[in-house]
Amino acid sequence: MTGPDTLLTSMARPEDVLEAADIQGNSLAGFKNDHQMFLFAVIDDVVKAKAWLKQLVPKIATLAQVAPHNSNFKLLKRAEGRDPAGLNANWVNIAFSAPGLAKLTSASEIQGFSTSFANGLHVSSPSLGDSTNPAAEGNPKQWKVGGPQNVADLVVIIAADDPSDLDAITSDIKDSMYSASGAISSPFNAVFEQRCAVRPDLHGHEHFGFKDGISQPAPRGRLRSAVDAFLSPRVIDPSDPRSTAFGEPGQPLVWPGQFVLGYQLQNSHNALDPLPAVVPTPAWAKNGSYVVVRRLKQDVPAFWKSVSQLAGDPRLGRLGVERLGALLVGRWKSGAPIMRTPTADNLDLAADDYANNNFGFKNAATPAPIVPGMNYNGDHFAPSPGDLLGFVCPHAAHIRKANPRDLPTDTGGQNDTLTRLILRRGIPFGSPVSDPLAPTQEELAIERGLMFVSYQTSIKNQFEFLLNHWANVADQPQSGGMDPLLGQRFDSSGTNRRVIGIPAADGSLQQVEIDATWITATGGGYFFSPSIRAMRNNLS
Amino acid sequence: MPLASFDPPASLTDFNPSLRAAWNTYISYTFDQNIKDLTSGRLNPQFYNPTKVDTPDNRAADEITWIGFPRLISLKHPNDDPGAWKEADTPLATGERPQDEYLEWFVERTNGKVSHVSFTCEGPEYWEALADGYPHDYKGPRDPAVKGDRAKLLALYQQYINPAVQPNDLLSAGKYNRLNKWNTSRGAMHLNQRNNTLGAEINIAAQATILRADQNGQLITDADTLIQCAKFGQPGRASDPTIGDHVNSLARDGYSITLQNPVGLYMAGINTAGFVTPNGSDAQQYFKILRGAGGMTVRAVFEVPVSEGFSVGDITIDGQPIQFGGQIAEHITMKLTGLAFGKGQIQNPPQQCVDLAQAAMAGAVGTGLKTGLRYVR
Repeated sequence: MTGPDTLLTSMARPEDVLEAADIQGNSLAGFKNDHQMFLFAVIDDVVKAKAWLKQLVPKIATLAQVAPHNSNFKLLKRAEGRDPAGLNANWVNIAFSAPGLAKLTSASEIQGFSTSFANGLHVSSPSLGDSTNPAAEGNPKQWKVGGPQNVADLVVIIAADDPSDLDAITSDIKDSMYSASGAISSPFNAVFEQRCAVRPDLHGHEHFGFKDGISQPAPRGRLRSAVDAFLSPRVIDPSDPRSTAFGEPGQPLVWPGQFVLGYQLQNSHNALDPLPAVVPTPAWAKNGSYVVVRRLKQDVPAFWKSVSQLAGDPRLGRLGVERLGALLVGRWKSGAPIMRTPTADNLDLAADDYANNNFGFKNAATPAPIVPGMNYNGDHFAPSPGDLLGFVCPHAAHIRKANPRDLPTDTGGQNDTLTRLILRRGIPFGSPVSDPLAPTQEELAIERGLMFVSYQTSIKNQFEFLLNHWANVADQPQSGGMDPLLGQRFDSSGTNRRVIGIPAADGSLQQVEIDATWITATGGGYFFSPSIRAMRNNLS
Repeated sequence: MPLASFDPPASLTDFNPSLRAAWNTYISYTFDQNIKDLTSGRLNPQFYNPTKVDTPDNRAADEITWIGFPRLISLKHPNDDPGAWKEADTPLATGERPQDEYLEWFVERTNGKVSHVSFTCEGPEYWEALADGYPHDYKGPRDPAVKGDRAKLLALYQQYINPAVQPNDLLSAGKYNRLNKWNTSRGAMHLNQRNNTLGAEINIAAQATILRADQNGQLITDADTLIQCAKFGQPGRASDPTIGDHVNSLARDGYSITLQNPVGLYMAGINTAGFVTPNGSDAQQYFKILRGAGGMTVRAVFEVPVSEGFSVGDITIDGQPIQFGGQIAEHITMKLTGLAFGKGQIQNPPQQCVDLAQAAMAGAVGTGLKTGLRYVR
């Protein structure tokens, strides 16, 4: 968590009331379900597609539905110490690519959308670090969806807690989208589908084994007109100045216009004083979000083989495989942050939502007092030190590259960093590997990875910035190497060799080289998640 | 052992021995003067002159980086990249470039299409010293025997800008003119934006070693708050708040801090991910370092050999053809390197913000109370 300044001593401006019944639920609230399906399709018959959409709109999950459900789930889980039984939910959301919106409206109607969105993910692919070799698996020409030859017009996201529910809803929706054989035309043609599920063995962990999604910005905004009807709960005691800038400890409050169009925007100089909302073009884009979808294939055996080999580097001393892996990520497998437990994992810290995010990289952090009634005994874990020079957490560590928190960056201070944050809604696909260093043939034959999904209002200044300017650049936001996970830029020789600085067991910084490919993009797209009103009045 | 002497930026070899000695005198004096200005204001800088204080081997190096494209211009043009690129490429009436992140560039076009973009981050002081012996604003001791090397000056201009450069083109009233036509409308030999100086780099580094507290006495640890409080550099830039915050963070950790020799501003590199060429070639090869070796690039050009059959303007970045130099500058990382030693050995009390200190001083006329110099950019 950051230091006490950043103008925290003053109150934030009143937060906009969100039109929760008009905003799709996966953006500001997020689907937390264990099972999800992504259906990518192209529009075959525009008239039928519009009619289909009109039928679907009442089934679209809104923020007004998803947010209270998530809130209840979290409260019950906190009270009971486990997932509450019987509190299930099934959700459907939809998003359209630029070609899809153009088919439903007109080419001129979408001119106000951003250039990145209009061009599509495959055009930005080189800047994201994907291979530029047309024959390579990670090149858009080889993608399963979203390449120049197979851009989807839309993606339907179906989420369920029970896999049989997911099957049933998916079947219903597919039946309505794709006609039976022999029909003259159907609303859509299928491009690709990806079934996803949380890991059954490690709930909430991605396939390399690390807990994912711990650090998310907390969107500001209110669900109702009541002054305290905040979308993101405020649990820090008001006596602490950090209570105005953080939801939970270490979870920064970010103005909602960063994620949904038409609301107050983050000010890159002052976290508490937002920039006024901008009316989007076209006006019906209000309450909508840009959605980035990236199907990221993970080579789990390659990752752990590399880490094992690196751990044998005598310059690093006896770091061990687990600790080296944690240094590459910035968190231990459990999710406990390196900044608070540098030499060994700490499962209690990992499980403490009010402590496992409470750290900075530049300034030493102190525990934050929590409001009464939260069934919390206090943050008694060792606080994080200041670590500007990267002797505790490497400058290249994934979580430090993706969110430098309180560090000064190449584009400004910590307030500027808040303008870069995205809401991540990813979920794994494929079955896990039981022993990454000794995978079975069956395991090797199966693809696994992460269906990366993010919501933002500027693809260029948020998602693309994080990938192109920080993850894939060795000396930004601090010198020390590319993000070892996401920074996999290939050079002209077709290799993705990268050098990163690692704090060795003796405290010295050592440069290690990685040249294996651990993550490969195999599809995706840039989409726009419209408001309910827009789908009803403008798109159907 | 303290550093023997300050080398010219990037250890460039243009200076003859007397000019090298004069450069060392100038940089050393600038360090000393910044320290003196702060101490005379009863402030305790943790900044030191490495030619007078030993920098131990176990020092830490902090490479401070920022993006070369003017952030203030970006902020003026939200969601209008072409508008920002155009403004950044357009010189002011004075001939100054509005490029204020210590990186400046000059665009050449052929038949309206971008063919060459030259980038420089050389401070104007170096060129004034080359021409006239010492930088023009230098007020320290001088060796009257030191003379500029006008022949070298001309040769470099002819080599890097245009063979047609004439000696008098570079002068005004007998002295080197940093805003001469070959460094404004006809090219970019070195930085000409008024705040893009080596002196500014040293000044910010020195001033940022002063710990600051807000009006409630809270230690300031945030980049934006710090620069508004301490009044070094300009808020909103990518460079100044970042440099200041890095240095101040080291100062809060109790380090003694200096700038790595040779003191200079450097291009750390270019990120050409997203650059797509007509023939699929790697655009990285078209960024050629012209001056400065060993990771200390001070001059580079982005150009495509004629043999490739296309030009810079045919390259796209994220689908947009290169029409402005700023499109490339957005992908260039700048850097300087700070050195620090003795973690935890200094514990200075934080000082009040410059405005408050000045107000206090105004109310304490005759007490002898002074504040640190306010560096106005």
